Amino acid sequence: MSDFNSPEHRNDPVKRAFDERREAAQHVGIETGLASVHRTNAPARRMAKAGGALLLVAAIIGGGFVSLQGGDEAIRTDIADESEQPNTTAPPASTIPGSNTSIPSVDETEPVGEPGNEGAIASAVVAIADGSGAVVTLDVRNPSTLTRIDTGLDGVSDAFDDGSGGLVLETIDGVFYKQPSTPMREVVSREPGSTINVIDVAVDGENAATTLWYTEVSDENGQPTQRLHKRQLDGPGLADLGIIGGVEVGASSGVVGYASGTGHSIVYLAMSDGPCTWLLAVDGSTGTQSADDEACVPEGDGTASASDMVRAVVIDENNGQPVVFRSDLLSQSDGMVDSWGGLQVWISEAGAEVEAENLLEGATYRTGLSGVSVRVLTAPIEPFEGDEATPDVPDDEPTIDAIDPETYRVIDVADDDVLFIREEPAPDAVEVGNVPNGAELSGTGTAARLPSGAEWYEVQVPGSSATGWVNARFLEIVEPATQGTGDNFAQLRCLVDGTSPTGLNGQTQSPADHVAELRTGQDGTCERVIVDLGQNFSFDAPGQPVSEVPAGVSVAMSEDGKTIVIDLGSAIEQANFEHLRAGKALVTNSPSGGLQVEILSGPANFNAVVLANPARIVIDYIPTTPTPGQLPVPLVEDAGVIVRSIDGLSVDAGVNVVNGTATVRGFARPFEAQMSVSMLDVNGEPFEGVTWNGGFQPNVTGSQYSVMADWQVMGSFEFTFDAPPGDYVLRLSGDESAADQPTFLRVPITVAQ
Amino acid sequence: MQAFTPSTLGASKAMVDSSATTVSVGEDFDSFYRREFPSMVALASSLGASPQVAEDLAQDAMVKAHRNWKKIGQYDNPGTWVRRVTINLATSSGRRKTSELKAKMRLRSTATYVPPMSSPSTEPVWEAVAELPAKQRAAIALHYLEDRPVSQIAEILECSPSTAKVHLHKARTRLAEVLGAEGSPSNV
Repeated sequence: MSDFNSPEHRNDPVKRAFDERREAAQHVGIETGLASVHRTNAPARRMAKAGGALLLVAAIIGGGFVSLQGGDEAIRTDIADESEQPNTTAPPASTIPGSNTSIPSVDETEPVGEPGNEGAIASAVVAIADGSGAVVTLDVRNPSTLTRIDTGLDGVSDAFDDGSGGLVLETIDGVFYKQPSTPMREVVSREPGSTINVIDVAVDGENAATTLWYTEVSDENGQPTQRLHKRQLDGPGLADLGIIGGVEVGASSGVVGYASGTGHSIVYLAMSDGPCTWLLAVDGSTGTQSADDEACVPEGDGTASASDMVRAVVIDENNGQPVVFRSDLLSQSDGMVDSWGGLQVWISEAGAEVEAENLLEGATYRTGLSGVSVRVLTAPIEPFEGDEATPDVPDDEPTIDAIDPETYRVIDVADDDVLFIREEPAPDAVEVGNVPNGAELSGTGTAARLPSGAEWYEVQVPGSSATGWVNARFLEIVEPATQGTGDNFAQLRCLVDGTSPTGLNGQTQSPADHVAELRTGQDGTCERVIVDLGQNFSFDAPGQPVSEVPAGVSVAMSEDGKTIVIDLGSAIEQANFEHLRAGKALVTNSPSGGLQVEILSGPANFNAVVLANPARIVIDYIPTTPTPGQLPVPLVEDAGVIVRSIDGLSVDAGVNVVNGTATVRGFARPFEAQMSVSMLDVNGEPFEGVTWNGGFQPNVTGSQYSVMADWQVMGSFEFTFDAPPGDYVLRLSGDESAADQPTFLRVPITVAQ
Repeated sequence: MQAFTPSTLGASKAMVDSSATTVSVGEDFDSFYRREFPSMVALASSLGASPQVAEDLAQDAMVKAHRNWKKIGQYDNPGTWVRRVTINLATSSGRRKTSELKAKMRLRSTATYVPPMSSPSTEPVWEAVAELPAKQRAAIALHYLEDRPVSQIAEILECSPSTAKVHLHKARTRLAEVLGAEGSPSNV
């Protein structure tokens, strides 16, 4: 790759776009962010303490309940109107009844659960969505209950268990509710321009109604406004509760906790406003909220952002104790898991699997509470402590690898079915084509291994220039058939008059049993030469056995007489070489000996034609300048670059001498079909006094030049250089990026006086 | 049923004790942060995140790095690690949704002018980049934003150099097709 600062890059719109993006990012607030990092990871963390009560941050998912009391009294509860009411009147800002202006304590719990079954928790189910339409539920008490559910919805971003077998699903369009044996129904519609975030679903302790808690953020007069909603799912919705009275709209970091139990419900909001982070409790029945000042924890006190900490809480039914999943903790010894976002559930072809960060695969981790454990089914990330670096965010992307491009046949697809070709290597990716059983597909040489272990191959979409992906388990490699008899040669054509050639010097053609010389023929005739490459020639691996050349192949000399061109013609269809778009080939001397044939299939794509054993190339050509006994060899070749000729070059006692302007022609197989050339002086230093032409820009003077490889014509290049008299080395980059210390073809040049 | 107090929570111990995640090389991290953070933001935004979310994602990666700086700071190239995390965060739509909401909430109190990340003339490029598969998008971003060679791109993406080349080549080919001859990446 050439110099990124070179002039020829200035017109690159992609580079300009990224330069602009890089410049824009310089405006970020570095010192503010740095301070925030230190605050977040400050070592000491303490619970906020206000008025003798303990402020607890907890989010309950599923059917767990905790009842709270303020001070010595139970918090009075008011049942809101059963009819849905808009939040148009702000209730007076007052403390929660029964409390002493402090956050209610959590010293006491009352038996909760279904009536008549105090002490038992309905469930401890975690429901997780992955952004598709699938949801996975897991009963933390029994990991073998992992269940995958296809909701039929698009883009389910979050899911909540309602404690009685039902699921609430948060999607980009709204919130849906599905109870057992009932159809899915929409319970919240998202208004345009708003964002819905479901907090929790629980049976309200007071009225035993399944209640949905969610926040809605919308723009009002250009300001993001958050409202807290409470809606009864089992019947008419309850009153919406707005964030009111002393709370700065938009400053909230979100709802972090919800607790509901007999007599009341409380929603906890984490607020960050200037110098402190604090929690606000809002009575879920009345909408009244606690005073905030006593709950404020000043910055520097070590309290981390509450909204980032608690990810999930599940109640252990054995003892009623909550299992808290916090993102700021890592403790494998006592069974607490550290997970950004809680348990990660991976939905793959193999089924639903659980991933958790920093856990060992196959291990079962106790939560530290009796009877509750989490079994890790798959854990691709080793524990961070003591191990090599791995990002603590699992990578769920498929692994891409280069493989040999093969021809495949579709197998194991029913007669009344098709194999889909997909846009991405994923079973739910968009379909871009389909083929029946037995069809043949051309591989591009790219494979993907999914985290599930499944392999997908990239193939050419039949009848299209597009590519797509298919599951490799439905493919088998098509073994090339053995070449037939000399009948194949009868299909070769002579370029002179279209008549069938009669063979070498009028002889009838016959299979070649030995290496024949490749030569030019007589003027005015079409001559055929059969080149037998022998038993042990391979274009893929010189010295190895080879396989057949397709029927219908014709070979001709190029107009300049310097290149043998193999035209696959109709053999493309017959041999299923659909991916060989250009249909042309280049025969050159292989560096390892013999001839190599490269089928050029488009920009920067090369495929080797593998010939039969014994390998043969049959050549019909129109002779130009007879050069008996001379093989069409490249001038020089190395590093994926072939210099065919240098006009103006003469060889004098082994020295390449150029008089005046020299024109360099050749073929290159460089990285990304681009080649750079440069001129070095005798000391190996860049020589700046060269004038270049014919490449990307005209009349460039300097030591380095970018030569645009013509993507449409077999990677050919042509350029001129003009240098003052002296000894130089002309250097052409090979098939590596310039930043990767590429290999070069070096041609010593002497520019004559 | 026992009282529901913090002391009975399994988490309580860590809640009240000093965390094990002390940072012993704070100054080194600070220098690292000041030097790398803008690049992280540019990288996250190049992968499709809005400006505020890009900053959030880069910040998340830096928080993780800081939390384990005792180890990460000893790596030959901590920048590789945080870039890997940033890429993972930016390409996960589920996490971005959360970040989007948090960023939106934070916007209310943001007084600093945040210049737009793109000028209108470059929008076609970003539309084309956004359509690339995740790995190709990441490879092309690392290539153009930071002039990284294939070997380093491969290290960040945790793939072989040849695979990284495939990603780059496919991305560049696709961009050339979408943007047309005039707008194609220069043949370099």
